[in-house]
Amino acid sequence: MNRETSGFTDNDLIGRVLLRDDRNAFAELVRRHQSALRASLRKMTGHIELADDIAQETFILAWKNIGSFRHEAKFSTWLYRIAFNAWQSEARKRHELLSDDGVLPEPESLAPESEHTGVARDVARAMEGLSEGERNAILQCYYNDLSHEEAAYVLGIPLGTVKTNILKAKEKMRAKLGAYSTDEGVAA
Amino acid sequence: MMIVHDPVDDLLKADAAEHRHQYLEDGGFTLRVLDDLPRHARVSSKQRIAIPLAFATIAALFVVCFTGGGNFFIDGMMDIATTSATPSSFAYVVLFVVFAVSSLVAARDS
Repeated sequence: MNRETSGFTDNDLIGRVLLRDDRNAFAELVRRHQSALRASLRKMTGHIELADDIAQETFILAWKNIGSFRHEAKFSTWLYRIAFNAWQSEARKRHELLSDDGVLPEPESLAPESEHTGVARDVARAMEGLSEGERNAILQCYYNDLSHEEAAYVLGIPLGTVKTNILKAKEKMRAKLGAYSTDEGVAA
Repeated sequence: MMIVHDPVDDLLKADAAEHRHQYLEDGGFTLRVLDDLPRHARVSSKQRIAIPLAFATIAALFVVCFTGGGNFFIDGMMDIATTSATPSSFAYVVLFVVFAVSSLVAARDS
């Protein structure tokens, strides 16, 4: 960790990047956010190498476009938005490749399902049955811990669509995760 | 008031919390990003002001050189006041537009 930059807030660091083209400040931003962003992309793509490539592309795009960051969202949320768009673009390319020759290059996959714990495996299986929009909404709101408003910003869709997708997703997952259901309630 | 637990919500929250608590070691990731950063990512704010002003200055010199010194300026104003379309009035309007646009661009970027 760089002693010069470690005590600064994200906004301080962004200011230094904007005013002085400070690479050390940007490096500190990368160090702070790389783990969460890479983990999020691994969950989104299901592949380690592909996720890291998109994370790298995300930070480079952030560096190039940091002048357009308007503080309307947190820096981390802005990164998630760039990452989501980069992944969408990559997914389209891969889909076109598949349509052209029917062969998709397979990058290194995440750990096999058998390595997940029981609950994680069941949740992962239940999520497989979701539509792309429902899955994206769940990933942003639960795994990236974003509010519905922030998720709408990241995904570039209306707030109402996020809420609907979350409700539909949970409904589908409820049907698949029936064994975990209880009828218990608590008085408050 | 009765709060009903949503088991799916609880499962998702538990799984997501576990996911978020996993820290991925940097392992050279930051260095790879820094290696790939373009050298001059942005035009500085000074450059953003200087570029339109340079264009405006060149345009002004061009107009002055090809319209007989600076008299076109007064002639142009007089012609516009009398609503005559002459080369001087045209040059005056061009110069005015160039300066106006340059000022707007400089103001916006600064």
